[in-house]
Amino acid sequence: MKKTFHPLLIFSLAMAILLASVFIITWLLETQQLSAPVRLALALVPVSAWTVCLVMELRFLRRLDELQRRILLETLAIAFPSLAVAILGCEYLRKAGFISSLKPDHVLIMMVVLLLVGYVIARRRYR
Amino acid sequence: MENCGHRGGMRAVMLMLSVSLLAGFTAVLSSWLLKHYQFGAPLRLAVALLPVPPFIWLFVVLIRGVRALDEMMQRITLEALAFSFVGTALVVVTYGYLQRAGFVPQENWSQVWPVMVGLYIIGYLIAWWRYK
Repeated sequence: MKKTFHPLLIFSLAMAILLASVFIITWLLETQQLSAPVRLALALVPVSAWTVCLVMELRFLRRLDELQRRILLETLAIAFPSLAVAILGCEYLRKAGFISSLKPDHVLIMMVVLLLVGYVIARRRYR
Repeated sequence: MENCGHRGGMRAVMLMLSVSLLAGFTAVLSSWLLKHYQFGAPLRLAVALLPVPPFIWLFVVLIRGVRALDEMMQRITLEALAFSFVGTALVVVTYGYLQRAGFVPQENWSQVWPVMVGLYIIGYLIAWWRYK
């Protein structure tokens, strides 16, 4: 019988590779003098790991039971519009001169934090 | 009984539309005020945050809507949200690197939410096609 890996395992592995690549590539782009093709290639490396994550995530979702699906749905239903509201709030604070413009790192941090908050709220509701 | 459920659904849609319009109106109003008037710091802060309460209200209405979905719509919405959330992160990371590598200009990341909406629509269509 052909052995298949659980999508969650592949997803976790792709996430680990992605996180490692984030630190290494950031360091390389900021500290080394590289030629344009190498810089472009490095900038696009995380796309492949991220694409694997996306595919595995969707496969993983289809394996969830009813309760897990509801928790995840509520987590995302909280995190997704919260992110839009948070970005909108930042945009207006920037227009009013209270903060400087958002950076990609800030958006990613917001996404992770809101995902965790959403998960805690959803978990409490379905406990 | 069915008529009652239909009326309840219509009421929910009307509420969502009204709150969306209110949120949009306050966003435009806030932008216009900040562009055309010079306010003191506290008033500027209040005007800047004016659109946030209607958007929070819209957010509550949306979550209630998601909780009331049937099994099939829940599956489709979950896949659409998951696709959009991870896809947005992919766009943010890739654009951030291209920015660092000097291939694209410095963008204001506040404009990321149209990407979120676009990816949600794509994710919804993929999931809908899958469960059709």
